[in-house]
Amino acid sequence: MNPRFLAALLLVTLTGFISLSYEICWVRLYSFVTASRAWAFGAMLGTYLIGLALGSLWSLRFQDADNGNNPKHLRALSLFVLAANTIGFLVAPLVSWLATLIPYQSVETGQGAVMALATLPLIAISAALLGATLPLICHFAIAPDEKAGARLSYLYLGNIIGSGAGSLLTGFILMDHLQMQQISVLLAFLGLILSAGIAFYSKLHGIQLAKRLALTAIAGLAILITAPYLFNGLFERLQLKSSYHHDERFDLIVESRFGVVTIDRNRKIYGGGIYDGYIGTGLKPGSWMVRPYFLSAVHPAPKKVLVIGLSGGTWTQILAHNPHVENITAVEINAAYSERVIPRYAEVRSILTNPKVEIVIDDGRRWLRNHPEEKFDAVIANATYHWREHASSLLSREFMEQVKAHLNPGGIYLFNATGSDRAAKTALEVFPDCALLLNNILASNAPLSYDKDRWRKTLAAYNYEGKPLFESSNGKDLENLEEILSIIDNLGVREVATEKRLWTREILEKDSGTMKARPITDDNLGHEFWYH
Amino acid sequence: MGPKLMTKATTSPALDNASTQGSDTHGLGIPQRALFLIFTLSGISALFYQLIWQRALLTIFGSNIESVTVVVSAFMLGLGIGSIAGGAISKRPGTQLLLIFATVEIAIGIYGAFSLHLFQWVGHFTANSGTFQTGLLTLTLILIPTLLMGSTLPLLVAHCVNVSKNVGRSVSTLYFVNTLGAGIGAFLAAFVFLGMLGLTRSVYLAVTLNLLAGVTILYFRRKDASRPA
Repeated sequence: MNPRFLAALLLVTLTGFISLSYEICWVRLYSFVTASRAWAFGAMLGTYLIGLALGSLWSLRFQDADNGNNPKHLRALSLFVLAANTIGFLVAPLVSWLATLIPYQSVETGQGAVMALATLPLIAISAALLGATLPLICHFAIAPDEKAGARLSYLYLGNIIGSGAGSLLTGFILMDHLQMQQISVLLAFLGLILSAGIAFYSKLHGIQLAKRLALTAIAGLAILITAPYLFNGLFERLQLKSSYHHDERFDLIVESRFGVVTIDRNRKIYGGGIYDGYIGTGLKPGSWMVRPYFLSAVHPAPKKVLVIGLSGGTWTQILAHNPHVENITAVEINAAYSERVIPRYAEVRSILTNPKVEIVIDDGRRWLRNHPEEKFDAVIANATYHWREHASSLLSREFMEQVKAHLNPGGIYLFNATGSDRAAKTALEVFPDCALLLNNILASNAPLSYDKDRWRKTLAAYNYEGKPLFESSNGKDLENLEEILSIIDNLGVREVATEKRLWTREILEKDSGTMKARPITDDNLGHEFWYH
Repeated sequence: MGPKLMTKATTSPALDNASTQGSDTHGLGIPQRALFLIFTLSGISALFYQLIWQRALLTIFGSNIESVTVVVSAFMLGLGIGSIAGGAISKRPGTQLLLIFATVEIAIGIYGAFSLHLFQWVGHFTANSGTFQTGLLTLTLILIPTLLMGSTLPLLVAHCVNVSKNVGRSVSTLYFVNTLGAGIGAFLAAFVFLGMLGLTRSVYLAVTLNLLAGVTILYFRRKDASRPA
């Protein structure tokens, strides 16, 4: 293997590493700014690939008939790499500033998320510059003979090995230890070193070489100086969009290989850029936190409970303090919650040491599949919004069948349908009995029965580290308790405020929205790609 | 074959040498634009498969970070090894490059047609299996078709270099059409077909594209072969 080919192999490998590392960062960026829409990955990947393709086409302008002997190819290549990395470094902050032009309220309907895609041309430009490198390197290194296909395959393999290494190293190691800002700076510097290396190799001499290296050094210095300013408030801008106020900062931002979790000053948790829960176990009339407390209204003794999705730990904490509950298995796919979020907040911290609670880091579906013998009195899934990526995995008929098989006789499945008629329709088809509690579906393999007195006793017995949920000597507390319990009085009443709604199966079956809805399956992917 | 291509092919002394060492003289009969269009379709279908298979496998085997790693690595590994295999095949004397390309496209289509059923079957088969065993099986399931996909670029590059004698131009153009197809495929899958058709019917659409690519090449080859010398 000649030195020119070896150099080319090194270049394509490093280019692959940098390109895929940027791609990983941008997937995270667009997933976050679109609140984890399933199509965000396709849109980002599509833009990236089209950028690479256009770059490849553009590279033809820099090729001539001398089959790579002209060093001007390498000089052009050096400039491409320099420009690609400078733009690549700027993508995240630029997208975040452009995101502040998007109306925040429009994110849930998808309009705002689509607007976020208007920033994709930035990705295309950077990818185009990177995309021009592979053909130019090939032109430089491969002779036009009968072995061209074979030599191309080695370079292609080198590029893919670099890409794979970038994907794995950046996605699973760097993202677990470094922040987006640090990764962006690191990648930009790798690119600048690569650019300088190519310039050095391209037979530039004297003042010309010095100029090129000086340009690279200036770019590096500019990146170092501006990075702290450009990335300050990055995730606040990406998440809050038009409602972002200058200097507004979250209480906590956790960046890990699992994604980005943010918690604002009101202790609201956001996973991947969208509301995902609240830290706080208090229960007041009209509070949506009534849903995990409701378990004792429909089950006499839920001793063994499975929680799918630990998140910030609030629901698990509430269930762990239910006097009837003896054992909780909480399955959470994102280890960052139990490792970095929950330890920080006193209201939920004790679940980490509560002997009743076992936290398992795994995919909920996989855990159920691998534990067919486990049966529960209740399975609780405070799932995320039905339109987010992978949401249908926890709302599909196949998943509900799986849950049903893990319920003891009379067991309860309580899950958050987040307003999806299709999820409600799916539950109606899978379970013999269902009810709609606020926006949650209560489902069981036996007829649901409601016991107000039992629920009152359970709520009255609730006690968090020595502090009762309702003081028996406090008249206001007792008044609140009765108002909360009155939800059961609304059983079977159709016209009622959402925070007091308790629709029976009969009402759901008369609801035209629910009955017209198409059930969610693993194959049709629910609302993920199309909202309806 | 486009006139420009034909001129180069018939006047290049280097090609006479190449034709005895791995070129595809009969296969040169396909119009250049048709070849590029076919490779675009191949790119579209590849991205359909990537998005569909990734989704199906993560649903079956779990969407935790380890599963994502296995799926991503399998794609990379398959494309890389496939590229080497395609490159090795392309330099063997007497190889009919376009015939192999057509066969590979049809093979990808056949695998695609059965892929989701195969994934489901393996999913049931591996219930309760360890992470390593599940990972290995997932890797294999992806490796087979991506190996085939990875071989297509070197095969076509070898074919086009035989004609144009310009590596950069061949790589750029083929890389352009295939990657452009892949980009279009990603958009179409994400914004149109996955929502409209779901996984199974989307995969059948990708299968159709592969079969169309393979059969079109075979048609032109046959037409070229039947032409008087």
